[in-house]
Amino acid sequence: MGDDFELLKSARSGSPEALNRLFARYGHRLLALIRLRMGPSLRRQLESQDVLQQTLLKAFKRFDQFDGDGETTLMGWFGAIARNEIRDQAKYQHRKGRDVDQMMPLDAALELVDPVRTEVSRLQFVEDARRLESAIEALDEKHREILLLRRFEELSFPQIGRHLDKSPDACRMLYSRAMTALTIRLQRQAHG
Amino acid sequence: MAKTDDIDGGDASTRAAHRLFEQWADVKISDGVEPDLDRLCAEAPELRSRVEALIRGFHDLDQLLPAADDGAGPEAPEVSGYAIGELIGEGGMGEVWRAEQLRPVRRGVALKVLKRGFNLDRAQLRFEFERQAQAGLDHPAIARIYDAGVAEDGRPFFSMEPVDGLPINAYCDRHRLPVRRRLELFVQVCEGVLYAHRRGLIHRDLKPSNILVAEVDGGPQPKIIDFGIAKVIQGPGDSPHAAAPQTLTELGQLVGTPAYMSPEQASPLRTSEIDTRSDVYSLGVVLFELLVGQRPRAAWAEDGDADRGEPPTPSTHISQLGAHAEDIARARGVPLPRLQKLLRGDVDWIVLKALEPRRQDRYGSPAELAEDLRRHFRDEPVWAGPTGLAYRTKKLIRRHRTAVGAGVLALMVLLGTVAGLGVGLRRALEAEKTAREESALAESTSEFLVTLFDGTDPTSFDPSPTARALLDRGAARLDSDLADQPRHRVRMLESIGRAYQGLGALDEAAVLLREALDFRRQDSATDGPTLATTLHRLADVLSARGELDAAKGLAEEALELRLADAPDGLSAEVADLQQQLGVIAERAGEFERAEQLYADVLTTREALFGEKDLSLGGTLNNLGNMTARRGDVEPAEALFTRALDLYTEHLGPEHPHVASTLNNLAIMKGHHGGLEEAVELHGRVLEIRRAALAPDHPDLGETYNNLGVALTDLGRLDEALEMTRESLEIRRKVYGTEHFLYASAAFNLGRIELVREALGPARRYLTEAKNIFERTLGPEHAYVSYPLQSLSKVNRLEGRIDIALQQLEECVEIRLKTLDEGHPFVQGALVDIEKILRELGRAEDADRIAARIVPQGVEINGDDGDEGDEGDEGDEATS
Repeated sequence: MGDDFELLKSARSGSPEALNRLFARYGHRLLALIRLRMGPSLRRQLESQDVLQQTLLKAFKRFDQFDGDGETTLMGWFGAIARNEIRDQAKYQHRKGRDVDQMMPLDAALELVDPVRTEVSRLQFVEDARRLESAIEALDEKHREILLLRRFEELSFPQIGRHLDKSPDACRMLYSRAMTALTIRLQRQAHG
Repeated sequence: MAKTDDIDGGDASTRAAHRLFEQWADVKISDGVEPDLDRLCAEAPELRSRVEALIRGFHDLDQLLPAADDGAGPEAPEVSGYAIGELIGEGGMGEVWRAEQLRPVRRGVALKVLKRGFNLDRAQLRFEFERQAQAGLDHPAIARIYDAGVAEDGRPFFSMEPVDGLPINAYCDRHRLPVRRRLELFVQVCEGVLYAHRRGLIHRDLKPSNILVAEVDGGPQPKIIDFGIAKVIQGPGDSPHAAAPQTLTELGQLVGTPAYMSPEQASPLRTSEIDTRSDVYSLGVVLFELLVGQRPRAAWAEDGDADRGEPPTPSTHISQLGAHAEDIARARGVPLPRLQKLLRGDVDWIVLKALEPRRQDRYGSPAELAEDLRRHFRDEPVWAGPTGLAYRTKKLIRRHRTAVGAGVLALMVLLGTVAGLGVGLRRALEAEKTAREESALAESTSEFLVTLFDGTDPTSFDPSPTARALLDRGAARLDSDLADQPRHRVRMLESIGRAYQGLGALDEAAVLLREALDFRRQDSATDGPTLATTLHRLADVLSARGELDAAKGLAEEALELRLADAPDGLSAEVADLQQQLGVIAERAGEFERAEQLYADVLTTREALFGEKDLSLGGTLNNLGNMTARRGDVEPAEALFTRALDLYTEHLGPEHPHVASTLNNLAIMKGHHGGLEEAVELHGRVLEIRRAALAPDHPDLGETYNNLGVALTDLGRLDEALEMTRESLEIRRKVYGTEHFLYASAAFNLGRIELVREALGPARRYLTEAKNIFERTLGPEHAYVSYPLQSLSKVNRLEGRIDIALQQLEECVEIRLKTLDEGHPFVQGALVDIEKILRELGRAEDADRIAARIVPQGVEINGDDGDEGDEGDEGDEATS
């Protein structure tokens, strides 16, 4: 945690190496989160890479607002910024009435995650990621939301509870049911 | 809370598997621990593999998703009057926080709080915590409880003396404490438990993680934690207000570590029997683990020999660990042989007495256990040990160690240097100021030897060539050294005979036991029970050697003697002998008699030990087999189910006895049309046995054989051939070729080859099987008829009609000795005979046979006689 804080600090003060490492550490996860938050329809209109870039940029700018030793993690903070960014961009897009269907999903960022991954396992990984993504998208709205908050934004259950206006125990239970549903769904997919 | 939507699809069993998985995930996520699958799937074992697949999927998913590595851990409780620090421990139900108590005194404490998400009766738990706090236990071996109450969020907590220590076993291993130091530390633990018992508190969950060892003033100090906490959790027994666990998974969570639980604790029906002796049992498990690094139950399951309902002794266990044993010895600072020697005798006995399944057989309290260990330290006879003079003498020698050690003494005696021993003994005895006559001394000598050989049971004897050589030498010396002391000699005969039996040297055992019996019969000083014991032992050996008539005679004589002492037949010995007679009758093909005997045994044992006693398991199985044999499917299934429940409850679902029972059930299903089910059950048996047994264990041979039989009947011949060959190989290794079980596998192979119409191999296997059956079981045994009938078929197919006919007639003749003429096996053979006679144009003879055939509805199914699969339960030969 403190490590991330330092990293963010040096990235902001202009260290390209720190920026790279930060991106390597969070890029993939943040991109996955952004894609999932946008969903298939919004993904056709917005480029998730754009959202990612904007999110990181804003994060650097607002660095002072990040409470490095509070209970929110860096990922949770990024997640909150990404949520706003998607909302803003979607609004803008809507106003602009921009033509759809020109986008392609971009998974290039995945390659940043693990440079030593072999080609075969990378393909498998991308495959797994796609499979997972579509399974998560098929989840019930409340299950998808809690999964994103918990696993992608790394919020604690009390934090999620405040966010969703539920007790932490209720959130745990909801999360458990989301994991159950997702496991079953993935198993069904795997067996046709 | 809404259930998971995705569960709703699919068929009923899919939904049920999903529900179980949902329960699993709830516990895993709420409490961070994985529930016990055995318990979770206890009511639907058939779903287990599906639930496991889902769990694997869950873990895969968990890997695939980004890690939630934030405060995934528990949140600190807010407790008035305390400043909470960091989390220092987490268990199945509780969290432990470092904290500072602010008032009334300022001090560092460990604060233990119930984990969130537990649906326990919090009021009850709080009450119990407060009770502990008020009990004010003040003993160096018990961590003090200062305070109890509820946190702001309603979770009950208590605060206690912070213990900076390791679980006792980890502590001992890390410091490589020798056996003696471990025992001394353990005595301190016993004293702490005793102290609490005297204040009316039973721990109920003693295990290494609840017995921490801290360094106090440079020395180790055990600190027991969580006294009485388990009570609220284990519910309903004597705390009726405790909440019953909500779900099976929760139950799995709550009742703690089964490996340390006494039988009365492990059984939900017997919780009212829990008392201080339950803690003694748990202490016994802890002691076992301290000594040999593993818990007895694990050792027990691997051992595959739990017939007596007892774990093996620590010294036996360690001798079975292979290479790992060296490491265990090293952690105790001694070479392996030395460790074994330290454990053998006193320590073995003490551990076993603490672990007695029936609480009345255990030490009455931790005080007695501790005192017995102290007696061991002082080289005084321990209570757990044998009562004989020999043992006491041995102790005497030990205490007054003369020039020779006890081990050397043993060898000297065996090698004939009895005079040397006499001197040593005499000196010892004088030192003890016990004036004894020369005759008493001689008696001591032989008793001493008896003890050396006896150990705790014959199987504990090391089956190495050395042990065998030692025995041979001992036996050889019987005539020269003890010729003038016939009574002592007879005890030696019996001991060495039993030791031979334990080594599987049945011929030698029979010779010695026969001689002992001859003497006992003539000896006026031999009383009824003593003679009965000798008779029983010899009968055991003879029965194992296949000398059934002789064995039966001896056992009946013994039974008569025992009945003289217990005219109502209500004695364990009577039941043991009836069981033995039942097995003998069954082996001799007298099935009706066997069934009657087993039924008697069941009644007697139920009356003596209750309906849930482990000793009923073998009898239920044997009786089930006999009932199934008569075709009474439903009653038989009920008997097997009872045995299954009993074994599962006492021993767990993966125990080899469970497998044996499933095996019997499978055979019955197979015989009555449930072939698919039989294959499935045998598959399950194979799974359990492969996990629990060595790859060439005879029970695996049985399963391969039986699976082969069922597969043959299903027409899956290639698989059947493969399985049956495995079986033949194992049996060749285990029994040699002159054994009816080897012959059974050969017969089944022949049968498969016959169905495949490979007549050459079929003839070879069938002939071999028939010859071996004849030689080992006698030419008129029912088993002989099976290869005979199949051989007749081979001959018919090859055009040797006369021989075929003759073999069928022989077959009928044999079967009629044990079966009615109406039995399908007899009828099947008769039908074949009639057919051949008509082919040969002998119409008159054919008509005569036809008259014997029961006309309608008889299923002609005796063709290939699918016997040769044996369903006997392992524990038939009582000891």
